[in-house]
Amino acid sequence: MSDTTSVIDVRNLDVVYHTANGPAKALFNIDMTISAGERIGLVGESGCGKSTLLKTIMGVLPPNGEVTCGAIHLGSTDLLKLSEDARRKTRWAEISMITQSALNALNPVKRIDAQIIEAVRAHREISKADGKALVAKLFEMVGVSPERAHDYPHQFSGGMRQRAVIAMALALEPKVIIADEPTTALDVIVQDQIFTRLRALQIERGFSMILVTHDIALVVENCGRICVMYAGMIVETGETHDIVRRPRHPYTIGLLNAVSVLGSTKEPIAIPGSPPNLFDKLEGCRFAPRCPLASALCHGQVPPATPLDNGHSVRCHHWEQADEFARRASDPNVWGTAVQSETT
Amino acid sequence: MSAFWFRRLWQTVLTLLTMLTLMFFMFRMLPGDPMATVISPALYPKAQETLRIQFGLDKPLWEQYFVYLKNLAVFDFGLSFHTGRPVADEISGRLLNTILLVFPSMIAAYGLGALVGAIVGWRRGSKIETVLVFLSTSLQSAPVFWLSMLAILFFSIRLDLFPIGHIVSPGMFPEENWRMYFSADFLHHLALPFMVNTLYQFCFPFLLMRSSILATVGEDYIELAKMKGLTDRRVLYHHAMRNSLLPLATTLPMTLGWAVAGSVVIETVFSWPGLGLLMVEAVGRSDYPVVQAAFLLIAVLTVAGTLIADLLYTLLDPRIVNE
Repeated sequence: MSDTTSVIDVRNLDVVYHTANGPAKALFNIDMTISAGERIGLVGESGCGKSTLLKTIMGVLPPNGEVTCGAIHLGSTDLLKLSEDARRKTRWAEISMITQSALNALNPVKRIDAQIIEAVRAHREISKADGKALVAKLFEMVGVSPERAHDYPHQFSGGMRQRAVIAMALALEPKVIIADEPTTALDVIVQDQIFTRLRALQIERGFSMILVTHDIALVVENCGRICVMYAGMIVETGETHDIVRRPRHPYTIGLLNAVSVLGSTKEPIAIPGSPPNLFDKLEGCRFAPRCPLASALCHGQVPPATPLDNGHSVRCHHWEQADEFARRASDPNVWGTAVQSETT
Repeated sequence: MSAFWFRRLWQTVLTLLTMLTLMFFMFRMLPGDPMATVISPALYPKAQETLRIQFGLDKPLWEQYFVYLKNLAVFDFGLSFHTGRPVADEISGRLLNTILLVFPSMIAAYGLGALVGAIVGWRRGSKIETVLVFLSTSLQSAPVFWLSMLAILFFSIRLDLFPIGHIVSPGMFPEENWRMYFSADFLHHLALPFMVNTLYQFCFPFLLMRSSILATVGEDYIELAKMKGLTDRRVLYHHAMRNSLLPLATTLPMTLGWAVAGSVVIETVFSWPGLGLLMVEAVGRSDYPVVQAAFLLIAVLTVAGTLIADLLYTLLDPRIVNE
């Protein structure tokens, strides 16, 4: 991966939320590169910082969120160094977003076509007729009848609303589209239809896509590369098939273990325990309290990102034991003892 | 949709009818004889009896009730006991005075309250917010008559900026015709009660809009609007405020009835010859036909306001139509 093809380059990013209970260290030392035309998956459980990372990239962190260090390069400009107005102009034009709940993402009292044209108007002049034609074209691309464009959001079904949001995301032909759990609220059939459409559009239009989800199966199906996030850190990243075949981080192994496979008699195994409290003073590896491989080293020192072959990178002191651990990880007792030894 | 409006209209008619009936019987159940002010007990019993028959008071109550309804249908509210003029004439001029005082200040208060509430809610946690919230909660709990008296004391007596009361300077318009309302003198008299009423009415929409905005700020569509690259102002005015306006737009018409009724206090303090002052005077003089008509008017305004609120809601929120 050379720098010339990278569209977004996140370097050493730290984000802190200032709250009444003190600072919460939401993101720590995030490195992430998105290349032109690739589909990359960002996986992690709820509260691991996925949304914070997206909001930081989009520049819509809540007022109590602060970027304490790092850079987000879009091409050669550092987004974090731009003025608010310059930053605003990059939104949607360069990076757009397909939001988590399309149900609430559309303003209920405005017509859908008006909401799409509004996004275009924020960046360039467009005549009424051109706007109408654009919306019709976009609706055709996402597979909704253009006649429905003048409807209100509540007149759309969940799937249609999601398609409308996708149409909106495509409106300015951005370089990157972030899809934040785009199909969580939809049934699997609609989910599949939407992803098929999204993949086709991505290949046709050539934008890069970040798919954010807690569903690792969805990423495996749709993305060439995976970033696994845990408690505000990217613990492992690499080509999807490398990670699925040979995960190097105990957390990734646990995540893959927790997926139920159709036709398999194997029970999915959940990782016991819960992610650390981000208000605590976090020392060492953040996964250590739940990790069966954890040693004194893990509790004391943050593991560095270790580069392996083929762009694979892992943050674990004991990644070399991963193969051996992966073999016994399907035994629930392996995980149980880790948590027990931690509590006693 | 039309079925909804048909039902809604029918409900309104029913409400009004109930109110009419209640009011009619309530006044007749009051202790004391209202006719005592008109038919002097000092008259010969024969003369008293003749007068009673003239007023139709010898008829049974239910018959009087239907006569009352029949008269209402042609806007005949009877004669004032005090002046002997038709109640409708008595009230209409006074109602205009009240409307000229109350409506502009309500519109100013709601417009200002919505705007300031929205901006303050949008910039959550500012010093101005703390101050304004404190001030408006205090103002809202302060009695209006006290506020009015303070205003008169300070602006009229101490600074001598405004007259202390009345609608125009005495003797300026002996005819009391329409010319009065177009004079600078009228505006000069209107200014102080208008400001006091605006200030007092400002608190409720301000606080409502602020909390409404606070609830809207966290919505996903606000975040999406920001991500679309819209300017902060556009997000505030076209998305956050537009949606937060719903509760406000529907309370405004509903409060109109109360506002007219509530102007009693302010009109009394400022000697503003409006409906409120008329009611106070009429009650004092036991002028029942006037009181009854005034009460009815306020009731009609309130019910009509509720109907307008419903209508506004369907216009402002496209989701409502389906119900």
